[in-house]
Amino acid sequence: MGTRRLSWPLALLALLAALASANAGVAAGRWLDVWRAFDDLRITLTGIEVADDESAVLVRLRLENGSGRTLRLSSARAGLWLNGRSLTAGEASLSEVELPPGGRYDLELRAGVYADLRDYLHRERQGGRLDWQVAGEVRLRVDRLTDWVLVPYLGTWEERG
Amino acid sequence: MTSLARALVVAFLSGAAFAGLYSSASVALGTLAPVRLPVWGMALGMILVGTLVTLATVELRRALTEVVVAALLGGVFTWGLLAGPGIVVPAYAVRLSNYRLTQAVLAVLLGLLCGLVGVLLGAAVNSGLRGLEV
Repeated sequence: MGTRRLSWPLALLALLAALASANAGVAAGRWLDVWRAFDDLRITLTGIEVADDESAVLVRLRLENGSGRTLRLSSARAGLWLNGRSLTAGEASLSEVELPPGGRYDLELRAGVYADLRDYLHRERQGGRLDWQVAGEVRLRVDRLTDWVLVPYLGTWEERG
Repeated sequence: MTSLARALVVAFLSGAAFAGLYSSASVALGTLAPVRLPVWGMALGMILVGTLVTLATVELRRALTEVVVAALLGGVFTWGLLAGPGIVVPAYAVRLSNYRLTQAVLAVLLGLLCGLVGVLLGAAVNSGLRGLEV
């Protein structure tokens, strides 16, 4: 059996492993750049407001691209918590909006208000204070990369009734 | 080189190749993966690895074992590659923690699938073209 073994497949395998590993090293470096770009994306909660007809809670966010790369935004989500209780969530599709380096994008997410939340809002407002906590995420990708990544954010908003 | 040492070298090289091929193509994975060139390159590369392992090993049972070990090693290497940025910049570690495990599992599955197809191909070459019993 030993004489029938070929040596060139092992040599070719070693060459393939070396080439693929080198290429993976380059890919890892590119990912490091991508994570840096995500780190330089600032997500700020600029406002929370209950619509006049009390059908929705409007969450306003500001996205600022502090990186040197173009970011493509796919969607955004905001889960709303009120005094430690999860109540509703708003989502928006952003259809690959481009955010150039240094660019800024304001968006508004509409979270539905249902009967139990409406009652709860009335009660809390009579108490004189609403503390909203927002836990959400923005889905985006960097430059021409095809992989999407979720960037999480947390925010709090105090409203005095 | 003893038989075990040779098997370990083959599994290590194949694992490195699996991880390298997967990592290079991972940015092209997603809903439209089957129509993307890097994904085809990765699949064909992994099949080639399985074929080369079988040609180098001859014995089918040993080749199968080596490819399975190589796929597992490929997963470990992929995990390590993605853990790298987390070690360099600790702030990235939390964000990468779930991501790198998902990627490592995917790398193992794809390595197994394509590698075993390669083993079949290598066995066919061994028995059909080289006249060896498998």
